[in-house]
Amino acid sequence: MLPEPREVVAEPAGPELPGWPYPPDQAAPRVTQVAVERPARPGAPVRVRTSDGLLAARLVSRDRVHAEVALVAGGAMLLGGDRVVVGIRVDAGCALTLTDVGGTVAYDGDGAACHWDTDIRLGAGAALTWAGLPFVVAAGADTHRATTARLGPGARLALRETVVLGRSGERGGHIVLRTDIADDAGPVLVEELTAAGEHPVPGVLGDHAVIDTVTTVHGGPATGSDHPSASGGAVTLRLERGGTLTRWLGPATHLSPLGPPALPVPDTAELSEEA
Amino acid sequence: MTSAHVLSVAMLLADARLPSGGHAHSASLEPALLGGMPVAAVPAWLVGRATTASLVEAGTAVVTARVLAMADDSGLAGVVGAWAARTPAPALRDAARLLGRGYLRLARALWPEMPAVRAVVAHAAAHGPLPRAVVLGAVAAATGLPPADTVRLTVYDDAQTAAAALLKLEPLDPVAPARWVLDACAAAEPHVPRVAACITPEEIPASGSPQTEGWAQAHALLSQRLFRA
Repeated sequence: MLPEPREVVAEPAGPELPGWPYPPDQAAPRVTQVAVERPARPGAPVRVRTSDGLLAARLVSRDRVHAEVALVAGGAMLLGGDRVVVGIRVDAGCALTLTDVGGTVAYDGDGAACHWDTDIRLGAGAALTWAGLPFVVAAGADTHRATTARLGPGARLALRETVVLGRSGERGGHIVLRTDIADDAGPVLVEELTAAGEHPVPGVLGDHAVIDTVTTVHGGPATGSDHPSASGGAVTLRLERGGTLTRWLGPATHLSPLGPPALPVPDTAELSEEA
Repeated sequence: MTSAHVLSVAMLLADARLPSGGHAHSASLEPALLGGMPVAAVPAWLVGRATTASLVEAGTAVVTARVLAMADDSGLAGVVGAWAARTPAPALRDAARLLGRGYLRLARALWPEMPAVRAVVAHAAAHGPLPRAVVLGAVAAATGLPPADTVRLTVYDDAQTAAAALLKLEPLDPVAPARWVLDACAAAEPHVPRVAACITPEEIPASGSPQTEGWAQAHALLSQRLFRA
């Protein structure tokens, strides 16, 4: 059950938020924005600004460092021609946990493509954990998903993205899945996967319907703790610039050994010291 | 002395007899077969490769050649970074750097005075082994190999390396894989202009192949294998 949003959080995202990736004229009405900002005064909770697009953002909880926000579908989606745009901004030293309240189905667009673009900006030492729920590409859907993340120094990111080709009994439609993660030093992970349920390609996904990925970037060089390993059929790839990509390909989501990603929530004491 | 024609250079680079260490690699084929891919899937796998992993390599070579042609040695680090971000599997990065070492040895012996080759030699000495695609890009810059042909060379070499490895791993009529190689090259052809037009590291294709990446990691841990990768 989703808690009711608290009154105090209904600070709508102004169109002129500094550093916001979208120009004001694009900000309404279909852009979902979540911004976590440092508290107005020491000891106060982080400020959370949200605006609703095709997805609505609902605050679940917050403290002096961390906020949890749930993303809820505002209606039937995704239909052909739909463009979901999600902008996430977490200021320096703050942390955000995003949860999806339901999975998403991209329906047969009858020739019209649909888009889901996510833009993530993390300040220095900021953290974002996003436990995404399955994104199902129904037969006939032509979907483009792009996740772009720009990380400040020491920022940490943990994302789970589960894509399913086809509802049950379907082979599924077409998807282009792009991930672009970079920090000030350059690209960390750039990947564009193209798959179509009707045309399985050995070496890309093969016959697998599910591609389940947890990407973790923790703002530092690769360390011995990133065990490159294979467990339960999932493979962990250690990225050159640090962080890991853990991936499982399989027939059904419930068989996946992957779980929601996790980052340690920063200690609230840290922020007090800085403030 | 007249220089060899650029077509002769391309043929030399695509020749399996080239002493660059390519014979120890299967272009991800052995990992795929050990990972459970049936031999019957090899033609489709080759086509998939020619339109995914090979294009990342090809774009890397093309951009390297452009960066070096502008005498921008500092741009090399950006190309290597873009390639590494597009190559998430450590086993594949390691294999590409091993091949790069062999290519570099060859390039240094054949075109020692060319600025592009000197630039990669200096970069490798300072920062460690460069991936094959970057060294190939330096050779392209040094010899005037056009970008579109650099793409075709990369795709062909990758497919032919796998095809040659297949004949060592599976008994079959050697004529069959020759057809598959040309089919893979044909599948890549519509992508050639786009990849050949890449100028900046950001433009390098990022087409991933997760199943191949997973197989590569599993293969790297095996002790009984014929090929390195």
